[in-house]
Amino acid sequence: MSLRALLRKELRWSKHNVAALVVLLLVLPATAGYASVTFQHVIPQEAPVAVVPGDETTDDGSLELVDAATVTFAQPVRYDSEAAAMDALHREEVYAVVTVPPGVLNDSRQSQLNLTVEGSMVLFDQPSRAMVSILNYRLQSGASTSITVERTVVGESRSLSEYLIPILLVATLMLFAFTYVPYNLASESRAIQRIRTDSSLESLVAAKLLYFTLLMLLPIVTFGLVTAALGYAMTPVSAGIVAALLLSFLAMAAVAMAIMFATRFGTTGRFLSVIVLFGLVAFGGLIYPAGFFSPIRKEIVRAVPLHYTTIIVRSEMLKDVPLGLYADYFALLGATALASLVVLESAIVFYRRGD
Amino acid sequence: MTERFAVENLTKDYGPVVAVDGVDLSIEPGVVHCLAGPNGSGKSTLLGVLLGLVRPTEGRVVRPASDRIGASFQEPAFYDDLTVRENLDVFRALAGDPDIEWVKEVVEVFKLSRVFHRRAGELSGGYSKQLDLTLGLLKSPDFLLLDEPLADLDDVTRESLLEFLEGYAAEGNAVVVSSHRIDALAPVLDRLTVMHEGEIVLDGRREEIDGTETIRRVYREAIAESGKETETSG
Repeated sequence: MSLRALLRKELRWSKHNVAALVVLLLVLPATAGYASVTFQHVIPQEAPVAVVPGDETTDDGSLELVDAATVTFAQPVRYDSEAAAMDALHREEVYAVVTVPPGVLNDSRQSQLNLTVEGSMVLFDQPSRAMVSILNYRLQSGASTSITVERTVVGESRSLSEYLIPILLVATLMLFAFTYVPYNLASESRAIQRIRTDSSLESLVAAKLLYFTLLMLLPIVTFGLVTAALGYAMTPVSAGIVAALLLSFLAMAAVAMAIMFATRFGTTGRFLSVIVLFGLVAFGGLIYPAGFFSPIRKEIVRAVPLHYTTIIVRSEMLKDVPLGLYADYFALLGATALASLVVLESAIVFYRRGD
Repeated sequence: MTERFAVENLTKDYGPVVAVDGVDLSIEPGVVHCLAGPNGSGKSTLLGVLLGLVRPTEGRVVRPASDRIGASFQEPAFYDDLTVRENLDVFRALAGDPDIEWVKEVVEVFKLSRVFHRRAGELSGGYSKQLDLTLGLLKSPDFLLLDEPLADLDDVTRESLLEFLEGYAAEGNAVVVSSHRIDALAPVLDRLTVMHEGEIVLDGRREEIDGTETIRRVYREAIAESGKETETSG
């Protein structure tokens, strides 16, 4: 009969922890289930591809012909110049650049189009080869002239392992921000009352954010050492990488702390942080680039600041592109960090008002 | 700025539960002021308001210019993961690095040197309380607010604490002790405020109450009388 009494105790425990249980047993599984939808397209079907005139004499008819041939497997985006299209390629706004030479519609000559992709965009390697084949087929069958499509790779071709390094580094920081930071705050909640009389909650979180953010230099350097040991020809640490990662970590840790203050350091707060972590993995374009997703999901990914962190870190590690190309991405990360700090302060005010 | 530390017409409610109901109280320097009352009478809430940790629903808090306000909490408040010594270092720095001789004196009073290198989270209930009291005293506060400081203390440590508090108040500092253990505090208190169901039902100086035995009796009578009134009015 002791079993019945103990089972009844468990039921009573559930009643007192209903918020945490709802988050853990209902919200979390629902989020995880929906997150699986994110990975329904492993081969991109609507990846943005730049269509750009080879020079000023390329006529609109030729560009329209290429647009029409591309639209079945990609989303053609017109650019006025090759330089602008290449910038968009480096910024992962497009995943290939199709350069259209003049006179494609001219019956009397043979034309060669160029499809340029980046060697660092490993997941787009096979799809881009398929694109070349499809483009060749469609252009040759759709036009009376002889048109061929050549594939050009800019930058060094990378392995999947190298491609994963920036992703895993970002993921490590996410994991720390949304699991360890909430745990740390919860474990020190007993000291909070005294801190409030001897100092302030703002000073407490400022110290924690500063310390943990600087602590993130350790995984950055560790990843650098591992890539060196593995012999990867990449830039493991740079000012751009450090700035993008630390700004992003600051924002994530501030959000995690805000959740903990808003939930008064309860278990619910820790699970909510894990849900945010899952959400960022699923909807932040961490593993697959934004171009792999449907148009709506693409917009969601592009609304998540962490998406730009991954692009900057990937670029710095795997490409030879000037950092200035990402100035607006850095501005966005800075603004996000600032907004997260405002959210954190609001959560602290909310916490105080709850007393 | 003022050195007055008081609450005026203070009310604090948590939804339908009124924890403190229209209380006026002024903290005096140089006395051991016992805030007595049974569990749930509103003592801890009142101390929380004085410390700025609890927002009043109504009323006013007059805070002193001095920021030297020390506290010990019902639930000891320190870093569990740090050792006793590390906790002392952290909170000493937050207190503006007070005189090390003073810190040594307080550590001696609460016999903390025996557990200096133990993790604070592993301390017994008694030592946890002693560490919390020590942390509250680090900045040699002008106003010392202690919530149930006698809980978990053994007889010897309790006697040392009471003797220390008596001397500390005699130096001109304000000492407010919230406790439901009136018997233990009776020999040292200079002023007794009795709370019951959020209201002050008695507030008087030792000389007005006249003697330890009288204090005990007055306390019990105040609670009983207040209970009758509640019953009658209810």
